[in-house]
Amino acid sequence: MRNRYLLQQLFLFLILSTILWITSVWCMHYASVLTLEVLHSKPHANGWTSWIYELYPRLQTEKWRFNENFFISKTKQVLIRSTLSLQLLAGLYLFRSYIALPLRTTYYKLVQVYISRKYLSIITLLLYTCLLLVVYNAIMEFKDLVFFSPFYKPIGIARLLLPTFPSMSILWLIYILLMGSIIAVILLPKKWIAASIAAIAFIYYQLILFGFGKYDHGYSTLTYALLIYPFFLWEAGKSKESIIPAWSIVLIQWMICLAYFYCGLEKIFTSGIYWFYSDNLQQHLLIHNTSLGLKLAAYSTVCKILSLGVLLLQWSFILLPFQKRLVYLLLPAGFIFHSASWLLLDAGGIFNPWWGVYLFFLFPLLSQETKSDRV
Amino acid sequence: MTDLFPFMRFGMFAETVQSTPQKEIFSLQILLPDGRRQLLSERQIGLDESHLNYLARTYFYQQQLDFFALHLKKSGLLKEKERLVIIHKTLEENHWKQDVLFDQ
Repeated sequence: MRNRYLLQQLFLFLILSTILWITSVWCMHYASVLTLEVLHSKPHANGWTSWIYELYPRLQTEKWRFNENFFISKTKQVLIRSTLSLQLLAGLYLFRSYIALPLRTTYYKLVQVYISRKYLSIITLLLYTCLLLVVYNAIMEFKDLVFFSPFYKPIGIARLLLPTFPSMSILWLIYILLMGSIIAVILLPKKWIAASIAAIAFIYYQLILFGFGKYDHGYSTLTYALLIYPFFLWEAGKSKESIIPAWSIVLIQWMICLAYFYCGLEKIFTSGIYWFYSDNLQQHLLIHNTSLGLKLAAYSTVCKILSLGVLLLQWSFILLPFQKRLVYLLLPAGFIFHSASWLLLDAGGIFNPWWGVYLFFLFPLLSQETKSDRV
Repeated sequence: MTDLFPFMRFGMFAETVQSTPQKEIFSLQILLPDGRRQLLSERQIGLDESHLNYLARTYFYQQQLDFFALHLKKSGLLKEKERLVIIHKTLEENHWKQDVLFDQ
């Protein structure tokens, strides 16, 4: 009976998927027409096209750099990704009775974890030292950025929060909040409040930098960690038990792993099979023009192997929450990857927050059973 | 959201380098009085080289490079007798082709 029901659900899923993809392909034609209409319109023209420029201000520049096909392929990507997401949702709904139990078991196994209180201070110290290394010089950067203030064009939420380049007093306030909250998290009680202020001040710091056109992802995993970590500190402050609920640490681990996984997935979505056989890495090395990078660019086969290696590394991160032993392989590999990006492509610096947040994988978590033994 | 909205992903390493605009760099340099050249980003100016490249590219394609360059020139970032030079470099068949866009 159950098998028959499963067959019915499978059939329904196939029908739904077919309808979704046929609709998607049908929409692609109209999406291409609309894309051309946007490209040929002026940013401040009346009508719906001006909204596209509002949502995506960089189009004003990029439409002169790339040809129409480039943007049409991007629009098709939006449809492909939306269709895949809908297909996934349909699958989850149709097969909910089959996947609910294993999903729930996995969820509780992953989330009902604890960490010994003895690690609280060291994790906090390491995380906020990472942040300190990133922002200690922020006020000097802010002072110098005044030279560039006429070119400040905020995007997204920054248009509401920081519509014009902030005055020096506001910049000082952001800096004092940042540094003060970092010190307070490390030294004072009620850490979660200071940690929340630090996270918000750090977002303000990034919004100011992003106002100059380059939207950097260099701080993304650190930002996720800083936004979630106050919940851990809040849990720690609620009781004096020797173990602390660590669902927030697990959530941070997931965010880090998903960030890598999506970076790997993005390469395939964006570049397709070209990623494997093009001279992509070689070209990047030549463009970034570092002495080590130029030497490596001479070895075509090595570049192709490294391109494949990067994908494998980034995809493998999704396995980390399920197979803890992979930390011994993936974390050193990730460290080498970021250091190599710095040496070969001049991306990032000697300290990279992406490997800074690996600290969340370094401390043992206790499951429900082991917690009972400890208590 | 950015994964569903790939337009946001420009310039990342995810994009294979195929067309000429993907192989361009805008280099902001200072011509010192003794004839030597120094990258503007080597001075503490709050923005690194990649940020400057983005800014110069934006104003170049919006045909406002002179506004950008003249402001930088007047802003006090350069000392007396120093000249600002903006170079557009494109990688063609593994060799850099250079065009001087601004020199004052």
